[in-house]
Amino acid sequence: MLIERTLRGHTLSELLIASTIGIFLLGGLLHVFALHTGEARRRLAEAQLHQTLGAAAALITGELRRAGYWSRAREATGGAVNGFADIHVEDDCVLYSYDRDADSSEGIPGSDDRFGLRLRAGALQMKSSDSCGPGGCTDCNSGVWWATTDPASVTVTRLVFAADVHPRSLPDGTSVTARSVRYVLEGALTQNPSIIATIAGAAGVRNDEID
Amino acid sequence: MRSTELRRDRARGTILPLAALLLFCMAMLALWVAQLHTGALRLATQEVRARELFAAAGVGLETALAQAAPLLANAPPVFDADGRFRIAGPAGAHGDGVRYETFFHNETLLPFDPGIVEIEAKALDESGGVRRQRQQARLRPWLATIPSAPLIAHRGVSLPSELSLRNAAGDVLAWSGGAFSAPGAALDVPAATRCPPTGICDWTSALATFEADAAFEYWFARERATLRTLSATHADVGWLEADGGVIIEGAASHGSALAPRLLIIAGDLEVRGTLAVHGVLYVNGSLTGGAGEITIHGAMIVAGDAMHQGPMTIDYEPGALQALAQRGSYVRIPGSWNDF
Repeated sequence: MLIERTLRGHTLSELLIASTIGIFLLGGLLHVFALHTGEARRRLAEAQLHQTLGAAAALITGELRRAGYWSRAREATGGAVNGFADIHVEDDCVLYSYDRDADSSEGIPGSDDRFGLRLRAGALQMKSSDSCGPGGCTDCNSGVWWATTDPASVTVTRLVFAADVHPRSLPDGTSVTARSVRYVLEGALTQNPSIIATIAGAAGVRNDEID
Repeated sequence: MRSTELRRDRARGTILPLAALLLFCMAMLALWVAQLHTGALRLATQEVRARELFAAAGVGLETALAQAAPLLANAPPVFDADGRFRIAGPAGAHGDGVRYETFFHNETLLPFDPGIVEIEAKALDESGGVRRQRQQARLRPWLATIPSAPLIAHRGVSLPSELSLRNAAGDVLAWSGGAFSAPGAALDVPAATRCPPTGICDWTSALATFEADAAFEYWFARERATLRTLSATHADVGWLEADGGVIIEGAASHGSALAPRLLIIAGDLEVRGTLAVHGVLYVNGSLTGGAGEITIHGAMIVAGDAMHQGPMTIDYEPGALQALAQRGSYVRIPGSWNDF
């Protein structure tokens, strides 16, 4: 009798109740997983956005620090003109130059020494060359530009540059102008524009301009 | 009964794989989340590391710049067949696991200019990360203007009979911006070039017009605060200052024939004991009537009045002055910094 009762199994109502409880538990569990997965996706997206903008900010800072470098700068204190010293700043564009290959004997930037950073088509673009004349480059639309960020994943929505100048005297009496460039970089995820991030920074130009 | 057992076994056989699948999915999800965090952490760490390396290279550059003059003076460059040299500079640690090395060389400075050096600072971490910074620097001599007489006073001079001025290199024994009184002074210049009638050339038109700061910058091309700071790291510059002026009671000696020194007195000076200087003594105030003994091999410049009661000997030594005009501190050349 006892053996028969043990082997008899569950009644239909027991099975229904157990199934219902099981479904609720499984549903709750799946809901929690879904929440975690969504949060993880969001965090990943934010991290990607921050990483992209951080890398872009590091590029801006590193590039602007180099502005004005001339391999024969020692000749500038003797009267020669350092043609690399100019920095042209517009709202969303900055143009500068440095003697990348240390091959300028005259202090005049070659086409491959002219650089720039600008916001176009949702991307931070960098200029790698420009054949504008020795009179200087002030056109943010000339030259060869390429995107440093991928608009398919991150859209750069705002880029603002502003220059600060600080005249000062060196210990040897030379009058120079120390410069820095402030910038604000704002971006959003292209797939989810509600996720945005802003980075504000300043790049101290290491190569002072001789007055 | 057998059919009931079979049904239950079949149910177990269905549930077990489902449970295993669920566990597998959960494990994969946990792994994915962990990978995301690890990746983000790694990127953040790399960014921080890059910043630390750059900062360490900057510290190395500053340290090397500050120590360039004494290091290069003590270890003159040895050139190879191509006219290049490379000397190790200061090295140290900056931050956690980051160290820097520095070098002085002339790799981009050919033809060689003895007054210019390129400083390279390299920062390294334990994982093999490297950042470099380079800066050209120019030697700024201690003396921007070499005094052309043993004694130069921007104001008046009142010295006793025990004054001995010697200038074997020229005809000027003293320049004074005010009245010059040195009765009975022993003057030693070549007779043929001695300034008539006393052998002392008074040049009153310009010296007296210098303000103290202007005079300092005229002689040293630096602000006082700058030279004071440099004196802490450069043995060939001495800096003495005290409230109410410097008083030398005992015996003080600065510089030698091989290592002349620039001694700056930041204010008035009164010598009650003995003071011997091989190089240049610059009093950025007045020499105020002490009765001690002053002996200078080089030159003495007084920004104010020069009054002294005791014996004074100034022997003009062009070699000591030239040495101070060839030594100095290195300053950055604007436009010569790079990190590539």
